[in-house]
Amino acid sequence: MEINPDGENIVIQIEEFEVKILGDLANQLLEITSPNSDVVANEDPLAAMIGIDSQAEKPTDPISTRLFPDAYPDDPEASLEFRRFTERSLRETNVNRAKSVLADMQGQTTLTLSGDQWQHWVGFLNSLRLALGTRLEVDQDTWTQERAESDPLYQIFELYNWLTWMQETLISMGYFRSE
Amino acid sequence: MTATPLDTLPLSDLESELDRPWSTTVWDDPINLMTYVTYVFMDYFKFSKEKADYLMLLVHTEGKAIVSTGSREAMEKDVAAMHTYGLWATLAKD
Repeated sequence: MEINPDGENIVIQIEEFEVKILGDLANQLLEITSPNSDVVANEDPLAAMIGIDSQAEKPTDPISTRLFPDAYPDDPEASLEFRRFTERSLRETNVNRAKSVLADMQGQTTLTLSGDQWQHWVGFLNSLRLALGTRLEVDQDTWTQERAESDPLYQIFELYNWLTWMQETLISMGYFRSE
Repeated sequence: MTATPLDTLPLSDLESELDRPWSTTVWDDPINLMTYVTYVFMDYFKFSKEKADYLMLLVHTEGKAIVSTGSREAMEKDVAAMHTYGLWATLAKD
């Protein structure tokens, strides 16, 4: 993969195997972030329309907990209420970003990203890194640590580093370019 | 008779007291990139690069930083926006 600025746009030269990897990751992210369709079907259509999910509950797995965090550190009740008003729309944003990235890569190996597409990519890569980083239990002390190839999480670690490079490069070229 | 401050100010003072005791805190997390956090602060809050960098470094070194204050409603909006960017943010009454 190569990433270069081109006028106002960013151009990504991407190999087919990289499209496949990013596509698989995008689909996994879609699985984690898509709003629960059973809940939608059972719900007041007006509430669904304005983004309220009266049945939202605090997630139990670490990745969803990181992607959909509590808003009130010491108030589970207020956090749950906040979640019911905001989580659906947060999920939809994640879904839209992943779908936008998938659409950009459809049959392409040269991607020209406009400002809006760039934002989708940067947000999408951030959600992926949050998911993989949580799985890797990345913390301040270990995140630069090397991992042995025999480590069962080695591949995830390599993917995480690749996504980090991609996000860092997109940000430096897209947002802080003039510096 | 000259109006004393007590006649003219209490209501607005009270309103601002009621209005501004909430704040949005962004917490340090080991995954989000420093440049990304700076970008988010500039993009959403429209902070200058200097202010965004300062707050980002505060998050990084102190473990957290208050990035906005205001009504509960406004802070809920800011926290929801930070979550959209993937930052770990919470709100609290000061």
